[in-house]
Amino acid sequence: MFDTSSFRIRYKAPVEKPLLIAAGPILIGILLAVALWSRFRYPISLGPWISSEFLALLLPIGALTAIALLLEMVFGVDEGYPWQRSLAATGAGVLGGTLLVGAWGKLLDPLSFAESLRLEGLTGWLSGFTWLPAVVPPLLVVAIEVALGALLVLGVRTSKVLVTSSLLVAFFLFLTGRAYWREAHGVAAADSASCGCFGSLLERGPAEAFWQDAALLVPGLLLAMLAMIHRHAMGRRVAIAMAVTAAAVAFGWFAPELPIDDVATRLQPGRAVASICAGRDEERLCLPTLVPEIAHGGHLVVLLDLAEDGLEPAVETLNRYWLDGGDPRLWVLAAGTPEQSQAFFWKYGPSFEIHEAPPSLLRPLYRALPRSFLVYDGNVAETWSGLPPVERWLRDGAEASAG
Amino acid sequence: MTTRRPFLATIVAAAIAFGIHVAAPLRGQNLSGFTLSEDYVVEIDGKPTATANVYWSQPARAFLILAKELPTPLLVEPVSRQVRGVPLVKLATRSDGSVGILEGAALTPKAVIDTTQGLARFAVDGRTIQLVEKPPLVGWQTPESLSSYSSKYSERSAAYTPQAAAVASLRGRNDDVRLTVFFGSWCPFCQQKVPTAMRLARELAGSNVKIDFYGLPRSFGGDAQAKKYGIKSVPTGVVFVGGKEVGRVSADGWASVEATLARIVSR
Repeated sequence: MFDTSSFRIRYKAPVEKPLLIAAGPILIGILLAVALWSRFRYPISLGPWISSEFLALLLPIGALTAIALLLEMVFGVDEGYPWQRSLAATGAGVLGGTLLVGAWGKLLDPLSFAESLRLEGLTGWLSGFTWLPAVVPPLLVVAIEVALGALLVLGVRTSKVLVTSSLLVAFFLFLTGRAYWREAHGVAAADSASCGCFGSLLERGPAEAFWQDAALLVPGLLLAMLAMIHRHAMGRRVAIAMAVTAAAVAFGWFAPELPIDDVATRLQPGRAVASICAGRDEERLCLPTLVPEIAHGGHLVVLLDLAEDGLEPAVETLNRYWLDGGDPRLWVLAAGTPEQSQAFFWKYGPSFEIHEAPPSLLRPLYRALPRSFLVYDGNVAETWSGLPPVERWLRDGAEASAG
Repeated sequence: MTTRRPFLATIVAAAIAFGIHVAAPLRGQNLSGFTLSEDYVVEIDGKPTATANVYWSQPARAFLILAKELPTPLLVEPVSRQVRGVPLVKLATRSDGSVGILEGAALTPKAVIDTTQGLARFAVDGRTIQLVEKPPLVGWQTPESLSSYSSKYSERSAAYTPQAAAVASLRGRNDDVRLTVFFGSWCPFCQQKVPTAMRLARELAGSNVKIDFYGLPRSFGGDAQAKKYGIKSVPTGVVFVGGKEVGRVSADGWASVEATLARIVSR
């Protein structure tokens, strides 16, 4: 497959449009440089829609695109001019990389993606299939994303792959475009009804989501079409892509049970609570504004779902900790509606206070509730999936007092 | 005939034991630390009762209702959903102002709480009693009306220390500055942050910076003022200089309302 002499010959004569040949690698180099600088030196924000978080995404996308370019240079099939293949490989790499990075985020928390699909009204037709595990619909979507992403990065730019990619891109742009249109025309989305203090405080505005998706997906797709592959069998690459897809689906199937909350969420040891925020510009709300006390000293924070059934043991444990004057001090945060807060109160009669927080602030911090964390002097020191080991602390405290 | 007397004696003994059991406080239950709750009002037969006091105890996880319309104080326990009568003579006020139920008080079961309609409702001695959330403060308010509504506003306002440099900068303004704070008295975040604006208003008394307060109902999307100013969350402070809107205090801006206001007006 790799023949250095023919490789040299291919790129030596005729040398057409050298700038266009170099455009792909130069673009990738710039993207990677900006992303690395923003990630490791100084967070860059180039306006409201090109935030440091967005630039952080360009790192893996750029790396995958570099791999796509390298694969094209070394193993590329001889269809099209070099400048077409360079740009096509770059475009396919950006598109495929974006799909793979997006799929990775969904694989870490497939149940959250299932909820998003439900809120978009895309899984209503499955409501009759009560035997179907909730994780199946999101995994189906993710499987398509991973398969197409892997095929594009591996250089399989056949008409079937590019047509399917076009349909997938159109579908994503339809979803974000529909939310954008609704916001522009004052039609409230299902999950942004103005209830509670925080109303419709959003993390990523629909307009921002639409234009970011369009910028990442559409140019890549158009460039990839510059050098479609017609005459070569790509069996081996397709097999590799399918194997990657199977591995991804298997990972996604088991992901909800895996202890990967620190990887899958924005809450991990070492994180500053001042960086746990939602919203942009004037609407930006950070955790220390809600609970100013956690910026100093030790604090135990528990995130609860007020609508969850069977919370009696958890509430009893937290009540005992609270009434015992537990140290560090307990803070319970929840994103429930006022009705849910009232119903929770009359069902469990908690002794501790519950602090309301906007869903957009809390959602990135967990895959399942309850989730808890310890804060010391403004930094997350430890996290737990579920309640913290309060029983053990209470027991140790009682033993220490008795001793 | 010979078996009836022991049988009746057993029945009577069981009734006495049962009566003692249900008319006594549960062993180990801490029925102290009841402090006045400003979050609920009592409705008797559908009418708010202005003279009723509602107390809440964190250790007991229960409410104590005292109203002259009721023959006895009532202990309302959300967890067990029980309502029990408390002999008035068995209530004691502590030196810290809290109320407790004395040891040995015979608590009489009166009712079971029904929360199916989103309220705590029960019937005692033929009267329907509801514990409902206090109606929200709606419309234009003053710091005094906020303090009357809930002592939390005045307590938190007194405890807040604004940044001196920001206050000095605002005091020195020659133009007319107005901050209109849209809030919800039902909103816990507003209960934290509105007192800071109340304190700032006090610090800036006599200057060209005025702060006013507008209370919104829970579903504030339909409120005329909220629609006029496009209020999406509470609390939101709309800043006017010379009658023209120049910025807003919202979300993180409430971490220090005086610093945010000073920054907005100096832009």
